Amino acid sequence: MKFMNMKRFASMAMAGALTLSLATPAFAANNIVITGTYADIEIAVEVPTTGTAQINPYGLPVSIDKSDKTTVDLVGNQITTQPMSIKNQSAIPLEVGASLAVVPKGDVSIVASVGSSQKGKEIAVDLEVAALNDSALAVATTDRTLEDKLIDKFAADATWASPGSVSAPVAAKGATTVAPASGDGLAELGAATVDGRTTTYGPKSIALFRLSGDLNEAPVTGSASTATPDPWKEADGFEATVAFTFKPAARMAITIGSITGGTVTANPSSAWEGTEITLTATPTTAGQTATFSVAATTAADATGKPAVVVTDGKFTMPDYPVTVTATFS
Amino acid sequence: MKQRRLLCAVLALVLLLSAQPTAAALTPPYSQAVEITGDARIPTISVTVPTSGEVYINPLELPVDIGTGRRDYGQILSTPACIANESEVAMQVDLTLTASLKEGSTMRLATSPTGGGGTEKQAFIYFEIQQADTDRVNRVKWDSAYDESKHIVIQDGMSVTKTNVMKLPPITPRGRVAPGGYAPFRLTGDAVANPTDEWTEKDGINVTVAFTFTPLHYRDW
Repeated sequence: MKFMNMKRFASMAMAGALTLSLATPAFAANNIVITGTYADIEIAVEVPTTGTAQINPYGLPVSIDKSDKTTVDLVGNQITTQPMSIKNQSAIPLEVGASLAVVPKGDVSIVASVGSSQKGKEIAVDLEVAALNDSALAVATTDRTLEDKLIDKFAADATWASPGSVSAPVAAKGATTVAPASGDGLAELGAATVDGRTTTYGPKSIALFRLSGDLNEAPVTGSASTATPDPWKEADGFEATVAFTFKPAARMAITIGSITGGTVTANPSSAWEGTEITLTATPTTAGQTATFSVAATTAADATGKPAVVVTDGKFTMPDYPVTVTATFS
Repeated sequence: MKQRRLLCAVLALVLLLSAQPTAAALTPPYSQAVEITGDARIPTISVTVPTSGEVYINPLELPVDIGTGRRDYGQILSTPACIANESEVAMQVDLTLTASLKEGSTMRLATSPTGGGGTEKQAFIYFEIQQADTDRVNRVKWDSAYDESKHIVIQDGMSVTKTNVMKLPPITPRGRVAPGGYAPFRLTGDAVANPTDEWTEKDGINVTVAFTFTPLHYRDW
């Protein structure tokens, strides 16, 4: 499976045209057919095809076995999902979108939220996607310790502090088909480093996902005056379909600020995190040199992060848009 | 724009022709479906509750073996009784006590300790329940005296309900023994030792203890 690199396609077309214009008399320029060969960027994402979840009315701990024969407990969730992850094995960062449809089973119905007025077997289900950022995860794709690390991450409450999420559409009891709800920009997966046969994840290459939600612990049937217990049964459940979509993440802008005494260009003019940027200064007055400064376009983006260092007119793109300024002297 | 449309068309074609591996070179916009099956986890709910017991009014504090294997001397004694939570989840325990004097009894139930003195034939009986790690009643540390905030006074002809008496954790959650899953209980108190109207075998009470157990969410344990 291939992905056309538009920039390389354009380069090939130009080179082809240039070659032809040199080799062919000007009058023969009509009806030229240029055949481009597309350079490829491989995109690979590891995604599970199946998973399991539990309606867990009392939030009982669910033990997950690790390869070292220890266990980690998932505690307190009324919708519990086994640890699942999506892993970017590509050399470019990817933006993650997803759709979610949940078909109820048994006496269950899917609601937007479980309020105090709902006493039956209603469940609210959300898909949560949590992008990770941990240098400990920057290991080869074949690293056997990775899954254990991900289990630990999955069980940590901090992982789920601010996930991207999609709520399941409402579905009545007995519904057999449900139109999915979808969301974009749920997470961004950082690039992996692809070196020959070895692929190494970056600190941000992996995101965890799970189904979470809410339900009534002790459902009842009938009106308030005639309510009778309707406890959860093994036949109660759901089938959820999560369809992830991936597309190359948008490059972040490199803005050239207000500069006097010359001009500055950045190559490339927008970039993903980690890309090396080359700055070129052209002074108005011959002989002058430029001192560059690179800062977050929006100051808050850089809070708590190290300053961007420019060395020999080059800098590494941080994870936020930047503005370049220069002083000529 | 034209290039983008071309790109999309090619990508769509490739997508249609492609199998969907879990990790392989892909073509964006790439979509991979995950089927997640959700089943209900139904915890085991099992609580052991004695169906009957006996209470002795022993005004003269004679030695009585109530089934503990030793002699007890209290004025109000009841046979060993204990509830146990053998469920996977903790339980909130509510209880309702209903009492009535036995037919033909001329005793009276006092609402406060008698101290053993006086001339009226009356007994002060209250219900006490303790959380424990074992059902061995001999090992229970009963309260040394009546405590209004913890105990329930038995009253003739009245039904007394007390909610959330305790949270009873499972004895062996997930196969491991955990403390506090037992709750021995008893009727105890005192009685006027030498009333003018002497105690007879006709004196006595019937007490019904009805426990209600409500499973608790794990966060509430």
